[in-house]
Amino acid sequence: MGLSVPAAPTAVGGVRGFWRQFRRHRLGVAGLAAVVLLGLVAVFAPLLAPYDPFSTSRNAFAPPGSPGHILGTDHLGRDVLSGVIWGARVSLIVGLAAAFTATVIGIAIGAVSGYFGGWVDELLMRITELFQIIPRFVLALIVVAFFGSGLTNLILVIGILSWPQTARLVRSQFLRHRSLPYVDGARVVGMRAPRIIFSEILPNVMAPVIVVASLDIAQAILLEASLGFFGLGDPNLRSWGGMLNTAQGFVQRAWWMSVFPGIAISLAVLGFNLVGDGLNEATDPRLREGS
Amino acid sequence: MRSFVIVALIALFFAGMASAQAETPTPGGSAIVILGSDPEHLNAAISTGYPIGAVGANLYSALLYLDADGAPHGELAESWTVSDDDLVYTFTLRPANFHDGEPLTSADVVYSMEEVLAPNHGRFLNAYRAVESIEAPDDATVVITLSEPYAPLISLLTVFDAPILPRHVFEGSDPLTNPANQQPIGSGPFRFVEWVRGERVVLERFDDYFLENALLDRLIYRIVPQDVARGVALEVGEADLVWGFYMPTADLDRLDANPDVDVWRGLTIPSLYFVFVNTDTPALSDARVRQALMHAIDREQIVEQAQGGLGEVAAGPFGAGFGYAYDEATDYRTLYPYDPERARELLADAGVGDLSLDFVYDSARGAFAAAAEIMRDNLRQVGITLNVEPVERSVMVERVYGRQYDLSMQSFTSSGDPAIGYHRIYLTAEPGTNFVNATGYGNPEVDALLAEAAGLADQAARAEVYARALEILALDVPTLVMFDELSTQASAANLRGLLTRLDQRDGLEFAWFAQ
Repeated sequence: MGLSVPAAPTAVGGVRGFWRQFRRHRLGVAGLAAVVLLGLVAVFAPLLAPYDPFSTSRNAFAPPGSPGHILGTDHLGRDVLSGVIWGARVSLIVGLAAAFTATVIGIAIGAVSGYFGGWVDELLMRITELFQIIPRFVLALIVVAFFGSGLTNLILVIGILSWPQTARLVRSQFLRHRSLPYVDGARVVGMRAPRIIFSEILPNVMAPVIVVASLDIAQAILLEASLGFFGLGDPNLRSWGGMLNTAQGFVQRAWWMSVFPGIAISLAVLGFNLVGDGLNEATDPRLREGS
Repeated sequence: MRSFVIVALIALFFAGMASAQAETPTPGGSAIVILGSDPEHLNAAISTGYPIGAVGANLYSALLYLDADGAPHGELAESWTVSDDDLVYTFTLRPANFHDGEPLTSADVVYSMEEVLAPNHGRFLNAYRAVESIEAPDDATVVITLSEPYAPLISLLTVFDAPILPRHVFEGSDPLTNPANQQPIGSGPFRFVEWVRGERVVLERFDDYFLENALLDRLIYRIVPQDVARGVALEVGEADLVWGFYMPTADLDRLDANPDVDVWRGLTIPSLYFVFVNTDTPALSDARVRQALMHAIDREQIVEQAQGGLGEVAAGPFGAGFGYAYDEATDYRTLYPYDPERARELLADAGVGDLSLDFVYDSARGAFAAAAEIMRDNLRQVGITLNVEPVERSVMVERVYGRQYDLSMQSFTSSGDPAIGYHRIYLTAEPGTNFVNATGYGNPEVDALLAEAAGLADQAARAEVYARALEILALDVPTLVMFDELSTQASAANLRGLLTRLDQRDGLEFAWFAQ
């Protein structure tokens, strides 16, 4: 072939280079440690938890440090540690699945909008703005109260309410990339739009999308916990938010019922946020040069 | 002359002091009463729902009321007589007016009972089966003639079971959809002012009340769906009264220690907590499965942890509150002790394995949520998965009485007689009527025995009939009887004059604020 396609600009200098950059960001590494811990706890919950999370007993309100109950028991004699461990699973599933949903929707809308421009862009961006101005939490409360608060519903609701940021980001990246030489080249050799979008441009704009996705995970975990706190978590799962909800009535009598799930939520949210920051710095050359 | 004036003044002064110490009730002020959920409407004649009764008790009036000890007294009725054969009750009415100024006459009483209460009111409609006629020979007389003696009739003529509606507002309309259900017109001590959905119902003193006028200027029913927020509202002075029905038991100990809050505990009208079993669910149509559920659930743990100890494990379908409706031979505490092993055997006998059941309850009831978690754990031990579904009250009512559920926790008040409060749970009924039999259980023999018991004024005779009914019910277990509830109430320490009636929701016209 006589035609040569110009090479796409590389955003990341290989996995090893990336890790070298990421490692410099100490807080990011701490966040990653928290996230990895959370992941391990979630995966190995059945092995780690000393009790079944739903197992009640006559030993109610045992304070932390009681024999067999390191973090104490709640008003029904359920082990708080086991609840926190199983809650990691719920939080992580909701966080990852909702962020994934949001990212997929965000990429689809952002890519179409940015690549084609014109009235398609106008329309999609107005819709995006509409979603951005809706108070997320209030809408989530209403939707979950109306359609029920099963795990799938929680994931879909949170995911569907969280995509605008990704969409705007992807759109702006596509606007920039669509007139770069490598995209022009792809068009010249006759590639169709879907292929250009997905196999040419998208891989080059994924780095910032992943950063936003990791922040989305943190937000989704927080939103799920907030819904749970208001009694709108999945009633058939033991979640951190749900634990906080039942703990409300016993704040003065049994502080451990609210403190430990509270710490777990903070750690998870902080962990994903720090990872996001670290990724951001490691992938964005402009931030890197500053440090 | 001057010395006389001085003496008189001094005497007046001391008289004033003395009365201040004895705390003469002083009029004025607004009391804020907490409701856990919005009433569905405000027509107390077509529903036995708790929030409707709470507002209705002070908005409407009835022929009689029951004092704190359960003894009947005349309200609209100045006096009444009963014929020797226990069949004819004659009531003489006091002159009274509705809130719109129209006079209340015997015609309103007859209309309310025959046209509105009998077809629509869960408890009244059972009593109405014994009624042959209700007549108004003149404006001030009501004559109720029974076809058979019905002992609990008297305790059914209170504002909770027989509130009187204005005929001139309702006649010719469907009482279920009349606009007055949203803007009610009663004849009680308080009149309707406004209802902001989901927020509050406001009543004000009715100055033309036929008995002594209320002391408070206003009664504000505030709707607080979050049960933990209710005790806090009392503590910070944003509420004055919370009934036990809405009070998380976990908060009581804390409120006990607060000098600005009075906490009261006691047994008023016996009240039972049940788990309804939908016998339309195939697996639950087998009595052995229902017996297994009784054995599988640790009721002591539920009383201790979910109910904060404010209850007694129930003795059977009518609780332990009525001596004549209790039979030692069918005491559930001996028949159905907590015994998961026995439960597993019964389930195996019935050929039931890997059962998954939907457990529906009113999400505003904190004790139900805790009980649900205990039952989830209990039932798991015998291989039953409980799928817990806390739903908003109106959704709960729709699902349970439309029989779209498997198990549902409910609490029922006896209203002072099992024939009023509890019979309806076991009498055969079609789905769709609220607050009656929601289990789908129907047994002609039980129906006959309960009807017979209701007519027996003689308690020993009644006890015998009940014993036969209990024998059947104890084996059929259409409801899983959990516990008799101890009533509680928490109120602002300066709110006086409460608990003057058997039902604590009633009689707020006597409430007043100490300065």
